[in-house]
Formats: sequence, structure tokens, C-alpha cells
Amino acid sequence: MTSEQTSIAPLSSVDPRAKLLVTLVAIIALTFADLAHLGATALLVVALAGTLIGLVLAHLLGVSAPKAVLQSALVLPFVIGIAVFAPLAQLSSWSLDAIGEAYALHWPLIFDILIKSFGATFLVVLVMRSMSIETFIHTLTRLKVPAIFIMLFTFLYRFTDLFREQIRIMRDAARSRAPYLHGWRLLAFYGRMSGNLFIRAYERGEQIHDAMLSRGYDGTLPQADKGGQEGRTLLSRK
Amino acid sequence: MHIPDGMLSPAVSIVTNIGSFAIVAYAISWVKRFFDQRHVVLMAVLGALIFAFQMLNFPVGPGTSGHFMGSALAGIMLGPWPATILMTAVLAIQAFMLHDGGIVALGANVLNIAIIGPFVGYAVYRAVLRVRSSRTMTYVAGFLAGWAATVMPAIAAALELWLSGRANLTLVISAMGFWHAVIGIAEGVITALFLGYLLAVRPDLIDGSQPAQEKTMRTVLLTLGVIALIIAGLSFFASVRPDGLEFVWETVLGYE
Repeated sequence: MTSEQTSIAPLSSVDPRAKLLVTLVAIIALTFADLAHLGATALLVVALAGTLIGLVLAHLLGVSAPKAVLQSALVLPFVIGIAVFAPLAQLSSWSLDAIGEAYALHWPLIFDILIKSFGATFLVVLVMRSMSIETFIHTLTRLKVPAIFIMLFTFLYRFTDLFREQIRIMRDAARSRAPYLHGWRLLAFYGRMSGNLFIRAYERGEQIHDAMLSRGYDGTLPQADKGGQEGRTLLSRK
Repeated sequence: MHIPDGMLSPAVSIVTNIGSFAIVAYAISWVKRFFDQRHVVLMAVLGALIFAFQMLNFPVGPGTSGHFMGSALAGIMLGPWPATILMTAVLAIQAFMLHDGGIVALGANVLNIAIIGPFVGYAVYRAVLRVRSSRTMTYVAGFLAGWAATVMPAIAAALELWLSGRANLTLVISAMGFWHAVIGIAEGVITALFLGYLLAVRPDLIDGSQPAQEKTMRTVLLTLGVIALIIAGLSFFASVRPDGLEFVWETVLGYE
């Protein structure tokens, strides 16, 4: 976790399962809401209410609201690209009049998409910044997510940085030898580097499996906390 | 290509989530039947590698860049069913950790990138090599597989946006199709050179990593059939909207 004060936040004791499930329900409610038929005033009220709720949630979860907003804003470039042209989906013919009419009648569609996309991303950012990756993976285990996915998540978390570092080192080495590598030569380099890393990963995978077997691996990854919790304790870990 | 939340209509979200869930559930049972523990651990390590590969950005136009996707590669190296699980895990991590792609839209993203991508890549690769199997054809097959596995998911995403009433069909197919056709060239080149490297260094990894080939080809067709049914289901839901198939049916095709 970053410098955020998630451990002393009012909602810090809430079970991560509850946080994830409530977030999921909130995202479904938001994305399934029909905002496209609201007027300008109603859309403004929705946006302001959403902002207020988001700030309160950030405070309760101990998450830095500005950082969460910035992180959520990363979704906007793609969303804006689709949203500004969304009224054209209602176009009956390709003429200036028809385009003008489509924007005059269906402009709320733009804000419908923007509010939902940004709002849903903000909710995910909030809940994920309020827990560590280890907690997230452990929570998925407790939510009965299939074991193969837990294993994949664990390995992705454990080894992605390792491979990224290897890719970075190989790329830096290539840049030092050929600083102006671009176009076809860059793609060719990527292709050969991918093949090289694949073989390294394959052989590393075999070594890892052997090491796991020697430590008594039985098909399930060990968890730091295997203690189950009763249904009544779902909302509180205390 | 990762569709964020808020872009798809409830009907499209529900149908894609249910369809993807069913296909992923079958993929899990397939892996349990045909993969031993060693394969699964290997798959997990390769998943981390593909995840890391996705940091490989390359310029595709002024101010625009694409990144390696890996769907075709996963499909060719592991087979389409394990690749489906692998790419689903990658997409889930991207949605939760990197906020790239939505949570409610995860079903659509899984359908596009984790199901259509690997199956199209695998089918194209096998189909080309069936014509003639040689080192040169492996390069050609790898390139076409990488290109098709980039373009087809983009077109599927464009269709989902159109069925959701979020985009004009002509505009979204043109934009998504064009840019991903360009990105697909880079994906294809990387995939082809990757396979060429493996052929030169460890050819056993290409031929020896796909158990139950014949059964897989049958299930490829089965899955493509399921995908067609899902798309048919989407069309059914979309037809109640004035901006969906009904509009095209009545105004473009002239039926009432």
C-alpha cells in the first residue's frame, strides 16, 4: 500500500469480501442505470452527488481522493473518444441536418458514458487502493474463485516484475548497442527477445515446479491464513 | 481494445458475461482433464511472461502506440482452451489492478481477447500449416495468426459497442478495424519471429506443448459455434432498441 492511511480508516475493519461484493453491486447499479434520458439539471445533480459520495467513500476507506481521481482519469482518453461520437449511433442518415439532430436529441448519451465509465473505474480504484494485492488474492480464495485462477493470479503477481525487469535489461542492452533501433528492426528485436524470454520462462517454470514438489506441493498454493470465518463475521474482521 | 464499464448496454453485458462464464467454465474442466500439475505451473509462469510482454509498446501512428497482446501466442503455444484461462486471468488482473477494462465489461473483454483471440489465432495458425508445413510457412502462419487475433477481437468489440447503441456501426468498425489492422501487423511480426526463434532453438516446445490436438480442433469448431450463438443472443437483445439491428433491418435492408 502507498502512503494512504488505510489501516486507521473507519472502514478498515470491514471484511475485504464485503468491500469487493459491495463494489461489484455498486458498479452494476451504476452501469445499468439509465442516465441517457435525463435532462441537464438531473445529470448535473447525479454528477455532483456521485462526486460527494466518492469523496466520502475515499475518506472512509483512507484512500487519497486526488490520487484515486488521477488514476481513474486514465480511462478517459479512450472513453471520450467513443463518447463524443456516441450520438451518431442514433443517426438515421449521413447529412449535416441529421448529425445536428442526433447531437441535439442524444447529447446526454455522452455524459451517460463519461459518468458511468469514470464512476465505475473510481470505485474499483478506491477498493483496490484500500487493500494490498496479497489481501486481494486471499480474498478471492475465500470467495471460492477456482484454484487455477488463484494460482495464475499468484504467479502473475510474483513473476511479472521479474520478467519486466528482464525485458527492460534486454531492451536497454539492445539500445546501448543500437541506439536508433526502430521500425522493422525494433519489431524483429522484440520477436527474438520474446522467443528468448519464452524459453527462459519455460525452463524457469520447470525449475519452479520441481522446487514446489520438493516442498510438498499438492496442487494448492499455501495461504498465510487458512482460518475460515463464519457468516456472521463477514462484515467485521474484529 | 479493453472495454471500460459504462460502454455496454445491460443486455450486451449480461449475455457476454454469461456466455464467457460458460466457456471459461468448460476451459477449466478441459485443463483439469488434459493438463497435469506441471503444465499448469508452466502455464502460470508463461502467463506472467505474456503479462510482462504487454509492456512492449510500439508506435502505430502520430501520437498513438499499440502494445503486444499475446492472444495468438498463448493459443499457439498452449492450445486454445488453456490460453482462454490464461488470458482471462490476465484480463481480470488488468481490470482490478491496472483498471484497464471494466468489471461489468469483463465478460465482453474475455469474449473478445481471451476466447476469440486465442481461438482465431490457433485456428489460423493450424489452417495455414495444414496447407504446407515448412519453416517459411511457420513464419507466415505466425504472422497471419497474430494479425487475425488482433483484428477479430477489435471487430467483436466494435460490434458490441454498436449493439449497445454506443457507436455508429460504420464509424466504429472503420476506426477499430483500421487501427487494429495496423497494430496487428506488429503483433503478427512479433509472433512470427517468436515462433521462428523457437523453431531454431527449441522446436520441441512448439510441437510438444499441445496435448489432444484432434480433440482440440473439434472443440475449436464447437466454441466458434457457441460464440456465434452468443452473438445471435446479443442481436436478439439489441433488436428491441431502435438503434440496433431493428434499425438496420428496417432502414438499411428495407424489411419491416
